[in-house]
Amino acid sequence: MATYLARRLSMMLLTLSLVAVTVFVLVRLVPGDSASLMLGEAGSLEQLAILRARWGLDQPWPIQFLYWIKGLLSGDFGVSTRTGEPVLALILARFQVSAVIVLAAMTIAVLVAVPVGLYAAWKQNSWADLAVVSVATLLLSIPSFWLGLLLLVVFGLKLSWLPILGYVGFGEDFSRALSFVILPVATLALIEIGVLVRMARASAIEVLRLEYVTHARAKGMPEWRVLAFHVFPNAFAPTLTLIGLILGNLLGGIAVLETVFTLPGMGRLLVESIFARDYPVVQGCLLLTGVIFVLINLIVDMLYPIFDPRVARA
Amino acid sequence: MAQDMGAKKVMGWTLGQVGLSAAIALCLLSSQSYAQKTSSRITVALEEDLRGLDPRRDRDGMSDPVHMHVVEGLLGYVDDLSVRPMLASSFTIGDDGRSYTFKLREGVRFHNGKPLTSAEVKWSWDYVMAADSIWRCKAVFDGPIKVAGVEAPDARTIVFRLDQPNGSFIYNLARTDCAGTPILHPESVDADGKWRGVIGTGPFQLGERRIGQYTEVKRFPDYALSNAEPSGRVGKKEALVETVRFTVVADPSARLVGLRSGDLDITPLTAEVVDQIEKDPKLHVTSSDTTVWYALLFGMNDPLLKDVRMRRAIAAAIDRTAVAQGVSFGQWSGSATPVPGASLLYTRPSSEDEVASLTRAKALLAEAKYAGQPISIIANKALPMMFNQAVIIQSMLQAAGINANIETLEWGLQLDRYTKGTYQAQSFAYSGRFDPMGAWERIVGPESRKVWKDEEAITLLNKGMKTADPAEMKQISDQLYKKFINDVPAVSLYNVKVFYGVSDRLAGVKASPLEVVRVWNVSIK
Repeated sequence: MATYLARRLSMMLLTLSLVAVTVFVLVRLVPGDSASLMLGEAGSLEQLAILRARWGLDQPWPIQFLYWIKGLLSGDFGVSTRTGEPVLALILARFQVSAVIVLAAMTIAVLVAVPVGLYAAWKQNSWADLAVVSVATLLLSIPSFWLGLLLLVVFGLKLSWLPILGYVGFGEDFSRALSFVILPVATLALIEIGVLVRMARASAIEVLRLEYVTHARAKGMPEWRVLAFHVFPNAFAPTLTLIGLILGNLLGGIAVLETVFTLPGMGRLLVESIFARDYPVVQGCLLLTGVIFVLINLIVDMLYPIFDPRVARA
Repeated sequence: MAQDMGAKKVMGWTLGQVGLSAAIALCLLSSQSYAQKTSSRITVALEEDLRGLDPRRDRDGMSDPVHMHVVEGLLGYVDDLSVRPMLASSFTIGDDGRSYTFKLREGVRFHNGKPLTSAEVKWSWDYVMAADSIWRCKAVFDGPIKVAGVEAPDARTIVFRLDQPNGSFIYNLARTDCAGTPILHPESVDADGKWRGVIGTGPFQLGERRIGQYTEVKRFPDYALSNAEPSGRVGKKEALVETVRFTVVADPSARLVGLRSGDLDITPLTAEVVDQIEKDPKLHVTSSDTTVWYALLFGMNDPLLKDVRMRRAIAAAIDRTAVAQGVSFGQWSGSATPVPGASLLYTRPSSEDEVASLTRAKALLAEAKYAGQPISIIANKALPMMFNQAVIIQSMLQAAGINANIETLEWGLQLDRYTKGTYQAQSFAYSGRFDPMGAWERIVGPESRKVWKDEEAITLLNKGMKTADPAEMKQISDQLYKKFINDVPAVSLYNVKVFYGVSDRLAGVKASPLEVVRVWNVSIK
């Protein structure tokens, strides 16, 4: 296990190095830079030169890259060209917001979708199955911004139960913070429930057809025990992989939802920074997204043997 | 049956848990009414977060509304786009036309309690004009209007000396997009010259700022009220509420929901929703013409478009009113002149200049021996009106037999091409300019980004910038207009109208050509 972990960690470093190079080059391949965008149509060439020199954009790319890497290795991600804030502090503050929403939504989605998917598989081709599949298909077909706006109109505007705009940290005021995240969490959870129900159902149908399930039933095991101890662990393994991918994707930013609900999350930060060509922030966000993806996949791979011991034996 | 019971147990437990949690949360939260608003706070929506408030380093369009409430300059614009004293009580122009002497108002204090003297005015000038400054007006005061020196002969007097007479000096000194050449207290920066926070003299002082969320300004209790009639940025500016929060709401639909729910008190509106908001019994709309100008720019060195007959043909084929109405859902009208209707220099163009004529366009094309060569119009989708107007223009040009294509670029790339002047045609927009000759200055000049580099136009512009006589300025502007219509370096399309949706709980909100919403003299009913 230790060797496996060490190998995976060294692979992770290699992947992140590639991510760093790719991100650095790609953001610079887009013409125009933060200096020209900041100055707009009234900027003079002299002012452009001042800004480019201030941000090191007048240096050749390899020199800029070396400065960036040197900073990264000492924990300095640079300073945002847009706001003047240190990039690491900016990203971590924004990441917390996204992470709260995503983790809460995914927890709810998994708690709802897996049993529901299991139930639908167990009742395959019944009215209940049809209803579950229809609702799941509907949920995953709805654009998140539309669902978000709908919930805002119903629960914020019509019923006045929940606030519409803003965000408060959980450390400042727990109940207000909760009120601000309910709608984005509900929106995201509903969308992901649609995806996960279908996956859980499909995996469970496969497992329900296997001989050991028939054998468990034949020896008189109660059906709920068959589902809980024989079907669920085997059906959950593929769903776990999907959860890992979705989680990595969402933690990288839920820009659309953050925009609709005016949440100061990392997705919005990334989009705004891309438009402003805020290279240090874009690089920092994408690097963090890379780290998240790699770590989550590592965790999923570590958890996989719990549900499917054949993986550990292999 | 036993199977059903077991599965139902699993399902029931999960759904029950989730349902119960949601119910508890909603019960807890519904005890508070989120429609109830803070009685002493006005919330204004910003389309995006501001970069910062250091005028030397990080001003942008979103900084302007905050700057306007917190800092003041010697002069300020009023709503008819003329200029009046603000922190100055009066000013005189020397006989040589090169020295401007400002007397400062008595009793003005900064937000740190210290009195305003000429020393702070000089310090502020040196701060924004420093060598490493990117203050938006630095290039103006170090270029076309060269300020040779600033002196503070006594505590109440400040003198600006120009190297040449220049009538545009006072208008540029008051420019809102340059934070009105702000007078800051030196404690706005630390001992190392690093920006700490804005300390101005405005009716509000800077409050809490959360990057990505909001910026608050608080009533400044020691504000020195002027007795002059309030208009634009000057006159009596009374803070009638404790706090104004400029909150970032990037999504237009969320801004509308926020306005309707009462979470927002004031929000900018897009043209298509104006009618909806006007029908809402709890809201109203305030609007104003602005100096923001949309145009189709030509690359004057392009092999095809350097022929003036081609440019005239394109201008003749474009129905400006149809373009303006098309992009604004019928709210705006077209204009053949870059000079905005709100400007002191505005002269209504003749109907002949404004009306499209396919016959004239086709005749000019035949004269230019146009053989269907493609014309590429650069546009972008980040600023949708630039793209929408390009689509309308393309169809009009095609109707005249011009092979027009749209090249959609990312905004940063389009701006890069604009700055370098490397394009055939561009669907473009210019920020508002309130100084009278600014309407021309944004397009006339030798710089690569300026679309009209004609020597005669540059001479006229320089002459117009130098004079302080409004009548002479107007005469020069009219001459420039005639030449503009003749040379067609660009096709003027329309000036934007700004709309704000306002909650009926507020009294006194009025849109202005200065674009930025003002919350002084605004009260909560």
